[in-house]
Amino acid sequence: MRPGTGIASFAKRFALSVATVVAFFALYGTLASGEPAAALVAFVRGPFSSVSSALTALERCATLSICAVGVAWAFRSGQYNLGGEGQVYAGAFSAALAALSFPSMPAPFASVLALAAGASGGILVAGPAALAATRRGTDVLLVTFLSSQAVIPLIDWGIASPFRDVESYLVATPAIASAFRFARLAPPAALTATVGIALAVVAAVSFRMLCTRRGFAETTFGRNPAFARSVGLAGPLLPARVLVMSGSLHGLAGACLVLASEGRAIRGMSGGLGWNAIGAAMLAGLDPAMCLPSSLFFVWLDMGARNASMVSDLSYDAGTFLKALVILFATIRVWPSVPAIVFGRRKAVPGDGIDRGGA
Amino acid sequence: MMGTVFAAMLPVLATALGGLFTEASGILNIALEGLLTVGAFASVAAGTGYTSAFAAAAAAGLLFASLLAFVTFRMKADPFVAALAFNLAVQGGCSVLSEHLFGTKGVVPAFFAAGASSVARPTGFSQGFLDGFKPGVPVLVVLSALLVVVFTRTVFGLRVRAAGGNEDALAAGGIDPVHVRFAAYAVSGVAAGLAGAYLVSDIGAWVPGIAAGRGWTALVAVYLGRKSVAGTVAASIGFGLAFALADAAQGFAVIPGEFSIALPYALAVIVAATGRASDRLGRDGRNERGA
Repeated sequence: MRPGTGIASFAKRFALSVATVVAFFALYGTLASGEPAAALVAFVRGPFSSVSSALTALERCATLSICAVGVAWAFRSGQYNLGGEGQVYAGAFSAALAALSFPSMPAPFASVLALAAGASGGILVAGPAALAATRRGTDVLLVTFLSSQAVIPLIDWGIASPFRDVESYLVATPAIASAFRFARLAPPAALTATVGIALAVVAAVSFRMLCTRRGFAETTFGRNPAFARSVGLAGPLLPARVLVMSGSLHGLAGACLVLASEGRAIRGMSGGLGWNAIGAAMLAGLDPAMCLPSSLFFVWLDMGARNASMVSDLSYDAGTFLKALVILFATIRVWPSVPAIVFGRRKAVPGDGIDRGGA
Repeated sequence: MMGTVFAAMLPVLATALGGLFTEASGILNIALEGLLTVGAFASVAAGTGYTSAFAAAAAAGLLFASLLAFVTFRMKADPFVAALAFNLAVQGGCSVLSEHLFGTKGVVPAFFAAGASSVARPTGFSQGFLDGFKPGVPVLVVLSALLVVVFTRTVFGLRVRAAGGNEDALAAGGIDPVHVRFAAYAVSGVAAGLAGAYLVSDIGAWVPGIAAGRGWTALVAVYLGRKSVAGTVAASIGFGLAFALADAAQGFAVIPGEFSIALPYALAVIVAATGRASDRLGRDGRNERGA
């Protein structure tokens, strides 16, 4: 069951999301905050309080949109990859280790190596699900999530124990060479080449989905697997291929976190990126191009909630709740009228209520 | 050791048996983790005694599972994404509510569990097996038994299985499969809610992230059990053993704490990835999506 695609559909969901945010603040601010107006203003201004802050939001949006495209690709092909969180984390850890392993390598090569290592880290976490889906017909949804949950504590241990920089106050690996890191395009803002990578990823995946036979096969498989198989569009490796690519994009985003903003792998650095990506992808209607604005919206929610919690008594976790509402509303397809909710009865329809994997 | 395995297995078993209802009715309820958490929070927020705590947990589970079912079936939301959003909302919502109700986002002592005595050892059980168990244990034992009976021996259980196995026949008999799935969601909500209250009563406090993956583990138990009661029980026992082993290993500092956290998930991945696909392949299209 996919949300509608296209700009009009996105605009509707976007308007609904903004309305949700405003309604939430009106309600929550009035009920729970002693200073609802201050909280709302701080929230709305969020990333737009200064040029530097806005550019930093763009950087975060770029990282998130790489993940969101990975989610959109997988979900659109019917592969519910819920392991994004672990894949991002593995990508960041692998990228940091790769960059730390070759400190004397020429800078451009080291950066490319770190990006490739990050993508490989994501693939390693998505791999068991890809293998199990292909060979055993296992539920992708469960295995991707479980692999991610298994990997996160192991990476936590790796960062906290054998690879920890004992001189740092952070639980983190040593910093990678500064020459390997992406240069800031507009200091002091954190805007870097990640934006270019995100644009390239969006363009490449959009092209693949819209203009190639493989992309068509994957989308068709997502809508109707049996049909895609019966007409020879989908081979047995299709789910694995999509999962591997989705994992690699998550890993790439993790590598960008290390090379652009953090300069090292920090314990817990994925920080909900994988879950936010699912929300952004759903808000985008699983359309890779729309992942950019929807990611920006999610970054705004994050930065706005952080801002509001700093200047008012609003809890930062209200932002998490708000994101959940936006994700939920983005996936709703029918808004029943109040009389239908209260009195409505319906005829039994075979197959009704089950998601059959179609749109 | 047996007692530890039993205590670790019970919440997973009860949640898994509840999840079995939705799975058998044709839909995977991945909101079990959130429902467990909701039950746990409700028991702390409303529980002045064991009865009120467990009643509040069951009511909260029922309410939120019904809401989720409404959003899924009536509003045609994607069941997986809606459930994910629900889990996320619970995470944020409980933290916000905890801050407002108790003045902290952290640990909140559960009044109802404070100073609770252990249950009396039933006749026939050897010393040590049930010693130290809190009154939540019999609640979950009875609940689990009840769920098994309802699933295997009642008309409602048959309808649930029919909704997933042959919904056309169910509809032809004048029964709306959606109503049956609604009810299945409600059952899973009550079971998960009570399991959440059990977790609180077990440790005597609300702790953020108290479910600690048990909802997901229960889901895997249902999956590995291939929609059968016996299989689900066997898988839950296996997970109980894994949790107990992980705790024991942590206690003896044999392995780092992070490894013991990862262990149940890693075992679940291995078992799920090497086991056979469930027999629902091709029935509702879900496995084709996942396969």
